Amino acid sequence: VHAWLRSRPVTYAATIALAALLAVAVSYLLNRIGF
Amino acid sequence: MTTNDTGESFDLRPHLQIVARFKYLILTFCVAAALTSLAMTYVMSEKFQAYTTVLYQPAETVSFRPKERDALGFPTPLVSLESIGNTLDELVKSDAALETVVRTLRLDVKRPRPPANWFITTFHSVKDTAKEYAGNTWQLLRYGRLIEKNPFAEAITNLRKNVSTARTAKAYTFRLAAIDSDPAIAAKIADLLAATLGESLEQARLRLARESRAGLEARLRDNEAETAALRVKLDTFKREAGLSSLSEELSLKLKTVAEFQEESQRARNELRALQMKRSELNRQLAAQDERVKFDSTSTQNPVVEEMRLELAKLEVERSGLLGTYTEQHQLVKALDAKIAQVRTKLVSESASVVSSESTRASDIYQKLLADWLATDAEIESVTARQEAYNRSISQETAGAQSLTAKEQELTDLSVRVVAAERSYVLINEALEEARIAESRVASDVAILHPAAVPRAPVRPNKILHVSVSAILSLVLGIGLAFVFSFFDTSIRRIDQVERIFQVPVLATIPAVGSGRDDGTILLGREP
Repeated sequence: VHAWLRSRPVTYAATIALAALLAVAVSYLLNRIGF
Repeated sequence: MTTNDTGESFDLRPHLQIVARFKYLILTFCVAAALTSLAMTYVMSEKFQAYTTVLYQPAETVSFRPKERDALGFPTPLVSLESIGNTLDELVKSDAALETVVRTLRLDVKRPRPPANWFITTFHSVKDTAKEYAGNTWQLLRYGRLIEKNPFAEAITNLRKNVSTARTAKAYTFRLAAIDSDPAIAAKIADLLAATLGESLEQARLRLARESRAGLEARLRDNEAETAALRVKLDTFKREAGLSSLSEELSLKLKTVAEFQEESQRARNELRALQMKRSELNRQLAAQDERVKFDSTSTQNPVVEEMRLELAKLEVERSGLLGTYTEQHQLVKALDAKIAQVRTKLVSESASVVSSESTRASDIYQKLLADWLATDAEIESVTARQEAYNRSISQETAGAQSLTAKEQELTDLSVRVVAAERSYVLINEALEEARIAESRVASDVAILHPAAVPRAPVRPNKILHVSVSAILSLVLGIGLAFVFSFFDTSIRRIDQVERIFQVPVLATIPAVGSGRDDGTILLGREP
């Protein structure tokens, strides 16, 4: 499991998910403050 | 190579190497974030902003009095446009105005979303569900229970967030903007809100003007009654006092008093003269005998005759002696002494001896007595006259004093009547001004143009969303790279080996078949 977690595809998938979360949060906040 | 504050050398290279090593990860992070952000702007509902321009120009109030620019020595403060702007903003965002808009446009009824593809529909339903759950959770955390939903109140709250007023470049105009997902409804909201604002301001102005007018009318009625009462009082006073002109009356009285005082003074002088006359008569009476000798007979005193004879003899002798001697001579002196002795004796002896006499009442005395009695009677009468004058004087003086008091009262009443009449004029002017203000039809607020239906949405701003996401993700991606590097236990460079094992590296084996030729050895590399 440890090795799988450290595998490249999983790392990248996690990165993309994190980036998407960040983008959603940014969009929500910008929308909230009126942009 | 840089140097930090403590003077130790700070090597930037390893850090840059870390960034370089994770460059693909950082790039993926950045691109993913930017793309997601872009996608979000497409699924987010677009908002349209419509606006109308409102002109606020307070009408000058009509005044019959000259304008006063100063109060207490400094100019009266003018209401700043900022205050007016804030007031308009508060009015626009007040429950009353928003309620009217929500009720008229039925904003509390949930509008159906425009038809869209499956992805957007799903996104919206997920978003709504998430929003509801988040809202409930927040309510539970805040109030400990769920509050019943009120679509109307929610619509008002939402609308309050979506309307705004802004001053346009220090002018008397204000921009009233409304945001909605439907451009037509945004324009309607802006129009309706502007109309409501104008109406409520006008109503407020009218109410104030009406209240002011009513207050002034009541004040004027009071003043009328007061003036009438004072006038009646003044007339009654004049009639009761029976005075046509108080000052004339008073001067007449004062003149009478002066005349009486003159008379009294004359009587006093007369009295003094009479009293002097009486005392003189008294003196004369005392000197005069009551009776006078009427008839008398007398004979010569023989001793006196003898003495006279002797005196004559002596005088002759003296003149004989003076022919020989001076007056200082002893003989002459002796003779002088003898003569003086005889004279003394002669004086002591009466010249004649009364033998018989008869008397009668003295005519002069009787005359003096009659005069005295007449004078006395006159004194009595003059005293009585003077007393009468004095009484009259005191009476007239008292009358004049009471007249003075009355005159004071009359002046007081007249002043009060004049004051009441003046305030009547002032109140009447103010009332006329209030009536004009009330009848004024022009409003302080004018809507310059109706809101146009916007063609382009104001938000979401795609470039802003994407750039903010990209920059933030870049920063966060670099941070992540350092975190990963911190938890990475593998050895990658010669200096790391030397530091850990405290032994020098004697030789390195180049990586075979990887195409690398940079002298690094492959240690702990992932398969």
